[in-house]
Parts: sequence; C-alpha cells; structure tokens
Amino acid sequence: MIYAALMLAALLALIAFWRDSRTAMPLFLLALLATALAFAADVTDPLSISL
Amino acid sequence: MTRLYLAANAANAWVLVLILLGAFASQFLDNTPPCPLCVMQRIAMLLAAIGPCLVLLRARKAPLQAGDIATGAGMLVLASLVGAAISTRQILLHILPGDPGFGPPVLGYHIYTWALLVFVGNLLSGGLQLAGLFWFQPNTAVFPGGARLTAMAVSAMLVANILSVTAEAGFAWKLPDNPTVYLLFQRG
Repeated sequence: MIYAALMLAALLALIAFWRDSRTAMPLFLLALLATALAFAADVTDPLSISL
Repeated sequence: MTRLYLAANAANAWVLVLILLGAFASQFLDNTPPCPLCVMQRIAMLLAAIGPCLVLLRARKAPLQAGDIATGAGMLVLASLVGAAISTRQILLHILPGDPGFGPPVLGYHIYTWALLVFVGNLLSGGLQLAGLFWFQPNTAVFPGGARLTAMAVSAMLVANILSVTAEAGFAWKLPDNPTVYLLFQRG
C-alpha cells in the first residue's frame, strides 16, 4: 500500500504539472522525499532487506 | 536548439516508459513479482520521467525557456540520484560470489544492474542539458507534437504500476521481502 501511495502522489504531481498547478512541484518533491525515506527505512531495518 | 531539447526530453521520457514496459514483461513472462527495492526503483524511474514531461508540457503552452529546461533537468537528476542509490544497494546485496541475485538476468545482467545504468544515463542527460543551456536561445516557432501523448504514456505507466503493486501487496502496508505471489488474489 505504501508504494501504491507513493506512485499515486507521483501521478498527482504529473497531473498538476499538466494543469500548471502551483501544487505540482511541492507534490513532486514530497513524493521524491517519501520514496527516499521508504528506501532509508529499508536500509536501516535489517528485517526488511530485500533478497 | 529548442528542437534538440524537445527531442532529447521526448526520447528520455519514452526510453524510461519502454524500460518500465520491459520490467512488466519480465514480471509477467518470468512470473517474478518485483521486490520492495525493485518497486522503489520503478517509482524513482517514473519520478525521473516527470522531469522531461514537464519540459514538453511547458513548451506546448508557451515558447520553451531556459528555466523550464533547468527545472526538468533538476527533477530528472534528483529522482535519478535516489534511484541510483536504491539500485546500488540492491547490487551490493548480491555482490557475494555464488549469490544468484534476484530474478532472472536480462541480456546477462540483472534488472537492478540495468536500472543503475539507466539512472547514470539520466544523470548524464540532465548534466548535458544543463551545460547546453550556455548556447540556448528561446525559439518562438517550435512547439512539441507529442507532449500530451508522452505525458499520457507516463501516466499510464504510473496507473499500471499502482495496480500491479496493489495486486502484489494486497491490503498489507509493506511488500514481502521476497514476494512470490500476488497477495490480493491469495485466498485465506
């Protein structure tokens, strides 16, 4: 679900860029930051290392 | 120069869309649901594709400006840096001798190794676009033809990946570390 939410945020950012909305760049940066945080959680949690 | 930038950004976005299509082909033909790191690399690739889309969409409405190119390239570089970090981690997880790696190799390399090469290529593309702004002159007569089609292709890939990861994770918050089935369709 978390990854679907991240991709949904990316989709909303693309739609916002399409519509020239002011929320586009904050949405994009939020999606990017959330992806980086999800990656950091994967790195720091030894039980969730992907095989 | 404007034509070159538009062609480069369209090519960049379409290459990313085709690579993600290839990842889908590998997922369904080899029946290997993507692991969490694989999914995060897909997300980074989709976020990277939004940068070139921004350049094309901006040029559709007004003559392309240097600021539009710099913004798109900046987005491409930022998303590619995150993606490259994720790919590097997955490569390092499988670096020990005898480790078979995750999923079947494609043309001799695993998908995450190809992903790192793609992210490095994106960084190169972003850097070249920014350096090339030295010679950029806005041209009022050039508008991209396939901007909407490109943005729709990236949107379609985002929707397809949302559906795929939802089928894979079911109602769980996180994906299993080594997924083998689509949990949404799993009974019991």
